[in-house]
Amino acid sequence: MRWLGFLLMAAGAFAQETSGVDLAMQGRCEEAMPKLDHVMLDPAIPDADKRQTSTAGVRCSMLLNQQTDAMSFLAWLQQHYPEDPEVLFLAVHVFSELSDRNAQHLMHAAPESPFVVQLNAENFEKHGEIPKAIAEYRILLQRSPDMPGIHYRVGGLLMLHAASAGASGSGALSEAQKEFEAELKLNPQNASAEYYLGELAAQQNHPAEAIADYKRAVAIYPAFADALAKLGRALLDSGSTADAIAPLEKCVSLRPENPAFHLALATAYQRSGRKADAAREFALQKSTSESINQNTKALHKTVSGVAPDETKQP
Amino acid sequence: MRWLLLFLLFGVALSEPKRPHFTDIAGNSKFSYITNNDLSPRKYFVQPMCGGVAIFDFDNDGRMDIFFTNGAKLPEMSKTGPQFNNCLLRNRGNGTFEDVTAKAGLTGAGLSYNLGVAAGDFDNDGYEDLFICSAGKNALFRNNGDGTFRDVTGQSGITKPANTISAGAAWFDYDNDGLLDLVVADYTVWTPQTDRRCATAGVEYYCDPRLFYDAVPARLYHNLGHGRFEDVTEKSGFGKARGKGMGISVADFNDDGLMDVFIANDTEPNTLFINKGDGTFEESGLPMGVAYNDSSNAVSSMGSDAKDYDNDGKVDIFYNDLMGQAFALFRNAGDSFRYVSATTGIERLSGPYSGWGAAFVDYDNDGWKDIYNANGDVDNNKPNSRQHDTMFENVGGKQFRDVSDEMGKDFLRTGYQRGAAIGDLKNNGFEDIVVTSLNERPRILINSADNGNHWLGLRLVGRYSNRDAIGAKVKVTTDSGRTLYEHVTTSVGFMSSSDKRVHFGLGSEGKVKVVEIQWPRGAKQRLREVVADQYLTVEEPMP
Repeated sequence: MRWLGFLLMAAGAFAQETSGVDLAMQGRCEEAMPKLDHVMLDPAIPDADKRQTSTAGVRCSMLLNQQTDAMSFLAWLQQHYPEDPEVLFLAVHVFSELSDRNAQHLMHAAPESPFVVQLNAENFEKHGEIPKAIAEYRILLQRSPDMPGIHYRVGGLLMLHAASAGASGSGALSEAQKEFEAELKLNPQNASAEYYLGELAAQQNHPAEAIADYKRAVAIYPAFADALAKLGRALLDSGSTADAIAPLEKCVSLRPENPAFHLALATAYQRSGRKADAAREFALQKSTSESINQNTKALHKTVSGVAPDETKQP
Repeated sequence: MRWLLLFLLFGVALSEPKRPHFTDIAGNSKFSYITNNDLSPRKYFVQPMCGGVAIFDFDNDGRMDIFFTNGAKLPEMSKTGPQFNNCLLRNRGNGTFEDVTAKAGLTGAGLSYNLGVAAGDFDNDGYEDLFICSAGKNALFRNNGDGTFRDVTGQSGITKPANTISAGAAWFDYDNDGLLDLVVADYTVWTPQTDRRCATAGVEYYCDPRLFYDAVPARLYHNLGHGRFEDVTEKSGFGKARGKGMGISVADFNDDGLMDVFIANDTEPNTLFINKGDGTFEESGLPMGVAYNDSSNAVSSMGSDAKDYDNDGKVDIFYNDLMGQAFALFRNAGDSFRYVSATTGIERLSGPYSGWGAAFVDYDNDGWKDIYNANGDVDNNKPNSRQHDTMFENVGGKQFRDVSDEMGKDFLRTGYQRGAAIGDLKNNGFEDIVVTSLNERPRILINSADNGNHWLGLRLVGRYSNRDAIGAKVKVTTDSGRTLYEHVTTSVGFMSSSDKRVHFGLGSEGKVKVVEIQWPRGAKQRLREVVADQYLTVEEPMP
């Protein structure tokens, strides 16, 4: 019904090729689809008209549950109008709807599949229901103990839980450590699991362990900017200033927009007596930070619910 | 089996130290003060900031008294009735306090919406004076020495740019001329008329300060003597750095004999003004590593305190912020500061809390300064907005653990806690806490002082340096060779001012081998073989 509503909203205007769009407007999608396809294949028809046709095509395809066709029409729109808010809005709805439909399909087609359990867990995770997500992932692990990636996700969720639980979260951290270790037994190439083990070691004030973990993460994935940054920071805090510079320089080169990386590198240069380099990095920290702040400010202003007409009234 | 069980129980008891707890004795005294921010559905930006506290001995009877600041009617910004009065409570010494506000002339009639308070003897007459911060005109009250105070703001020369909110202030002698100067943490320019409104579905909430409110410089006032001050904000270099000042901490961070200033800024980089010794300061927050947390985020820094938590002789910095951001602890490494919130456990412990009042306080007298926070969210629109205070116990200067649950039910009262000051209200050597809570009576939390640990208190009297001896550094070496460090300051946490006496917890040691005092103007003094569990008055030797 939602797609029918959208169809009625998008009234077509071009005179010579209205029939496919008109049919779509009337909800006669089965008749409309061949005509819409025909328009899209005709190189003589201008893009503005094809935009109307594609929009109608997406909506008809969704009504008829022809997912591949919907994707084709949408792909054309995204290619020709990549920044258009109406197209972006349509894409959000299409993918969201497709996600729901495929989830339902999966549940009906293979209710006993571990993927159903994983999907449930991911849904809980998406909605911030961390304990429920962990429980669901653990069911999955009971059924498929060798499934890679799941211990890692549980470990990440336990860390999230600990962060919001304050003092009562310390048990969750030791559980998280076990999960990351279990993950690495299944998949020794999981750089993120090594990274989080480093985080946990750092939190427990075990800098040597943390450095070793971060080093392993970087060895697996040399372009892992966060791990490089944490490795540099940990070396810096341990007094190995000279060793800290290389990973910090690398993470800055990978993510020059990140102010935290510039700050860490500036600090390393400063402690090495490289004043000019430190000044440059401090300046970059400031400019990248200000850029983020401006974006945040603009975003907050857009969504904050400010009532400008009331601002002068005490 | 029974014996085994008893052994295990005894074993557990041995492994955990006996912890003092806190009991609120405010109910034993008659006073009408409630921290009143004029809360209403129409939300004004200034309302989350209310309820400064000072613990000081205004009548020199040896007992610490308490002063609270209060809000005002909004949008009028005036104290339209006694419900907005400030409050002075005289310590009777028997566990009760007498409300002497009116007699002392400190109701605040004529003032506007008050925030922070700083106690200090600016005229070196031996009586503690008060500086009161406001959204509007700040005020300096001189202690007449007869139980009354006089508003001397007009003749003092202390003025500020129109409509700035001043959140907190600190007394310190930056040029070591023996006269206390004043630094004021200003927040932004605001009036009820320029107040911005933010709402969701018709329900107002406090606007994000990043959206509409610009940062302003902190202000520095040089004490010229004879009750006169000069605004040296521009020529000292303070004017070059802007922030949204909240907590303010003064200490000699680089150990050069000159007092520096740390200001915790809300949603702006924190500022650290390093005293160059020629009347100017260099803002060094970024190169010294305290402007941001490790993620380079300018968080909502609120209250701050600066003390040596790891007993290495260097002054460290703590500030709190809002839930989800993690409170920040910076260890002073000599050349700069290291962010150690993650490695000390502070990051994990503080996640669920929004902190305001903050203090390093050795509540159990074990010689390690613990971290106290007065908590409660900015707004009242979340399920976990009402929060309880926290005590993070210092474990050997390396780690902290949350022992709040053992601090007693009065300590755990939830609310919107704001200002908090530390002081020994019973003169029993254990630190007490006075904390305000929005739209509630304050709590006067008395330490149960029952773990048997020893202590030493020093009341330093400057004769050549400023009389309060603010800035004096004290090193204590116990009989076993353990070294502990403190410095004299009254500025603490958020909008508050603490007992100026220097306090040392000594654990099980009943004697101090040496007390070394370095006075602000350079004199060094040693006291040998000092018996614990006493307050000692020490006068500065004349040069």
